[in-house]
Amino acid sequence: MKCKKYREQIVLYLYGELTDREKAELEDHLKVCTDCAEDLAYTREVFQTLDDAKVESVPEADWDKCWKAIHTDITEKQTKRKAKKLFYFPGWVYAGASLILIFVLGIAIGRFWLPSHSPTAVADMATATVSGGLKPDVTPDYVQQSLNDHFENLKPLLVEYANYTNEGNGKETVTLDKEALKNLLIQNYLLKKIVAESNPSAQEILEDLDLVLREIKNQKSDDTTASSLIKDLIHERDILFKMDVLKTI
Amino acid sequence: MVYDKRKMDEIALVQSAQAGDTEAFKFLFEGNKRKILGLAYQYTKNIEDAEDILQDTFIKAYSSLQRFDIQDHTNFSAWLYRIGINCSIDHLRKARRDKDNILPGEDVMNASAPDSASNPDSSQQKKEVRERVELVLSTLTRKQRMIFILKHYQELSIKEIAEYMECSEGSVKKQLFRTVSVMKKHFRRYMPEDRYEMQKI
Repeated sequence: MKCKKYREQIVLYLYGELTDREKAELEDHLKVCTDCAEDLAYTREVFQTLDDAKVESVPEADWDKCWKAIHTDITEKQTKRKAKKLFYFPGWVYAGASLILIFVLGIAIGRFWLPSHSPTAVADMATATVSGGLKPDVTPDYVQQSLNDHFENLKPLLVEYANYTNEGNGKETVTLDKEALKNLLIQNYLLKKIVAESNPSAQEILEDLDLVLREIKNQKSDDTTASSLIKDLIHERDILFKMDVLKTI
Repeated sequence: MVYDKRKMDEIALVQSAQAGDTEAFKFLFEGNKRKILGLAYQYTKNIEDAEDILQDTFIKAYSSLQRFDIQDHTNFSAWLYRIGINCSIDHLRKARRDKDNILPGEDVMNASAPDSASNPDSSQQKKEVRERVELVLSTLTRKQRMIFILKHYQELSIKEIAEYMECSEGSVKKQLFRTVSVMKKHFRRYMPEDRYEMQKI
């Protein structure tokens, strides 16, 4: 136990780190303990070996080259830091911007997402359907309401074609708004996607309507034959009747 | 109160450098470059490597300069020296890995004995001893390695080492003793018996 303490002190002794009192105490012990004396001799030898490997003098470095390399690096870092500062805003700016964004989004959702009968609303439903099932907020009631609205929008046009007669001067045609017709076609297409599989009856009538609308779209002005064909189509397929039936479901 | 002018200048330079004054940082470089290079060269024994370490040390120091608290660390040189020590160890470790892909400490105790103990005058043999010492050091903890180099090769006092390492002098002594014990154990197997016996006599 005592020797353990001196073995530790031998290292410090060789490094000149013992106080005079510790040094004297160790030297007294070494006189009577051959193991510790041997350990001192061996430790000294190991130190000598280690010292032999010590570097005597350090060569001169290329100081200019070293400083240039350091300076280049730190200058780049400074430039980056300055650039970063340009785009730095305090935390409250981000928090405020987030609140404004949430507010604007809220208005946008309220204005455009909640039930309306625009093609956009139907388009949203269609996207939901294509990506796998109706969204939780796209309820069957909402789909039915959209169908009803669609039928209501179509009805005047279809009635006009259904009542078409060529008994007058032969130049009687149905007045069309091309933009409205295009929107009806889009609405019809999207509703078809929504009700696919879930409502075969609605899908069937929408298929018929798609056919009729395309015929109307392709109809040339003053083409009375086409108008008659469309009229026949509406009657043959009982489109107006089916529409009324589906509306009451 | 006695003011240490050199230390006051150093603090002022550090503050200027922290504010982005590269000229002030150059003064800090000029004042510490030899000390860091000496340490790095002791580690690598190669001036190009030592220059790389010197550069790494100052680049890392500059990157961390904002974290250097003058109130807590009034000794910039000690702080820089510590970075230099870490850079030296990292550099050596990387160099060894790149060189022969030897894992640090791998088979160090079973490696063949260098001839340097029997004839240490040869520079090649000195190199072998250095490599062996470095290999032994690689088996130690980071703290033990640092303490040994600072004590044995940089010849710093235990008090100074304790300051650099931010630990007690007792802890430095303990770590130093452990490291020397490992060295003794390793070198014993091929220490020439006649030399050892001579020392005993």
